[in-house]
Amino acid sequence: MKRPALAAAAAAVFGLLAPAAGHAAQLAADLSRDTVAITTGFVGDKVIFFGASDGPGNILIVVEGPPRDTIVRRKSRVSGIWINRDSVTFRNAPSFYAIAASGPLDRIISPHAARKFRIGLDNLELQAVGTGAAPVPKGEADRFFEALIRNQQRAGLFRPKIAKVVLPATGVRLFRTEIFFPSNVPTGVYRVRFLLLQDGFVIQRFERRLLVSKAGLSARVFRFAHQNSIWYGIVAIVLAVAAGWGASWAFARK
Amino acid sequence: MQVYLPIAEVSVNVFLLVGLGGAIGFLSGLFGVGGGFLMTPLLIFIGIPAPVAVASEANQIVASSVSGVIAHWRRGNVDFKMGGVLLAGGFIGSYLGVELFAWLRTVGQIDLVIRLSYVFFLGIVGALMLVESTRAILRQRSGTARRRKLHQHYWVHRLPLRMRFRKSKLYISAIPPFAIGALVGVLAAIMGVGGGFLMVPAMIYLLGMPTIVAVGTSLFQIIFVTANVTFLQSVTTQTVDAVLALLLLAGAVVGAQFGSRAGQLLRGEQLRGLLALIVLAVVAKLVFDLVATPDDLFSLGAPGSH
Repeated sequence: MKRPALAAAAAAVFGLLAPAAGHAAQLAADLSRDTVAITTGFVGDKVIFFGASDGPGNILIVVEGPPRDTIVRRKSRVSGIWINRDSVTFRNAPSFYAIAASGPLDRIISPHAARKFRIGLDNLELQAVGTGAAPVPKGEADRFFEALIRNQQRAGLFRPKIAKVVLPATGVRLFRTEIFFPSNVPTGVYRVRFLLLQDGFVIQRFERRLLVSKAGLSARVFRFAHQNSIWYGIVAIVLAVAAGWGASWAFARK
Repeated sequence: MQVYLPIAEVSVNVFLLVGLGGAIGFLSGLFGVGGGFLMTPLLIFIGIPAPVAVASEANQIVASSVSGVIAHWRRGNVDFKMGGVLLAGGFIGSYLGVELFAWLRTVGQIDLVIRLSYVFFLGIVGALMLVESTRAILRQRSGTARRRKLHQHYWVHRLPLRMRFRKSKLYISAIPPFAIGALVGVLAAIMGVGGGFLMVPAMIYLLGMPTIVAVGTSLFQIIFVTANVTFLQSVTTQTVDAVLALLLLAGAVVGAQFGSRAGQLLRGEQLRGLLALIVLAVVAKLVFDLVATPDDLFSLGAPGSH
């Protein structure tokens, strides 16, 4: 239903590039919106990524959430019960990670290019910091890193599947894909990269930002709780007392 | 209908929360306890982060205790002097508890400590209550009702700083109620409970207060302790989700009214026996989770934030 409008928008973007289209291939791309608003009724949201290229080649879209130090803890059994023991902190791990591509990754991008542009979870190359001064042994770091990916995939924050980028047949090469942002999506500025690939090489890059932020009531409550925590506490208590009082009054009258 | 909880940062079904509130409210009206010890584990189970569950539950208990204490106050079941002494201990205890909570969070052991405290205290209280109520039921069946003294005297009553508590019909040292208040304050902060399930038995069996005054006074004291925990958690950890608390208490205040009506159909020892079984079931589940091999040995956390 939205397709014709999107195609028109993409064509318009592409149209702007037309004068420059004499050399190499050109890439133009955009998002269906620049903000994901987490409102009180938020249950996750889809964003459409679309664009156009005037030459042949594959399209790769990478969406990364704001980097955060993420700590991975491992439980071990101590006198019969499982408790958190060892931990490894990964510096600046993306808080969200999704890839969309017009073909299987290993076919459309060379390993060298994937490493260079940090495409794919295997190429994140995060710095692992242990609890002590000694560096984390490679095998250990790998095990903790796999756990990071596994946990984030379970939480829906590292999208496990590569979304398909649709490349319609002939004419202007329009492409489009959808990426889902679940309700537990972290807030912040997301980095969106569009890559045009030929024979495994990146021939053009295009970068956009996507803002994920709380909006409306939930934003106000969150800001209130963090910026004015003393008054937030007082208001929470007054509300609770009033509700308890009101309830007993309402039922006593019955 | 889903609602996004701004502090917990997850979206949950509104009817699930109101329903949970209603069910726990029903039980709390039935048994005369706050129900926090059931609610907090359930909230964690449905995916609310543990620190948020604990802090928001304290906020909700403020509301249920206010609505409960009004009924008891009208009937003259609140010993304000005893409540004041418990409270003095409670404030110090909840302050220490919130500090301990914040420290445990940075160490990454908060979940373990919450679970272990639950297992330990619920286990003891549940077992004692089950034994006591079974005995009472058996005694009733055999028809040999033994007369009991008003209360017994232990070393507890011989400590210095004696005070007269008229409503409780006691002339005892202020130290034991102060200590009980402090312990319950620490637990309220760590476990997200009002502590009624611990304080009421302690007041009856250790201090020798009449049951009905113990219930009324503990509700009175719990209001202030949980309000203090709510405030301190808001300031220290920012984990109080007021939206979550309001949805829960909307269900809880209604459920409690139906629960207290249903409670009049059962006898005291039957009620205590049933409550003991529920408590022990929660303990069994928690022990299982601690001992059983988890699906994934690894878990994530963000240092310094949630």
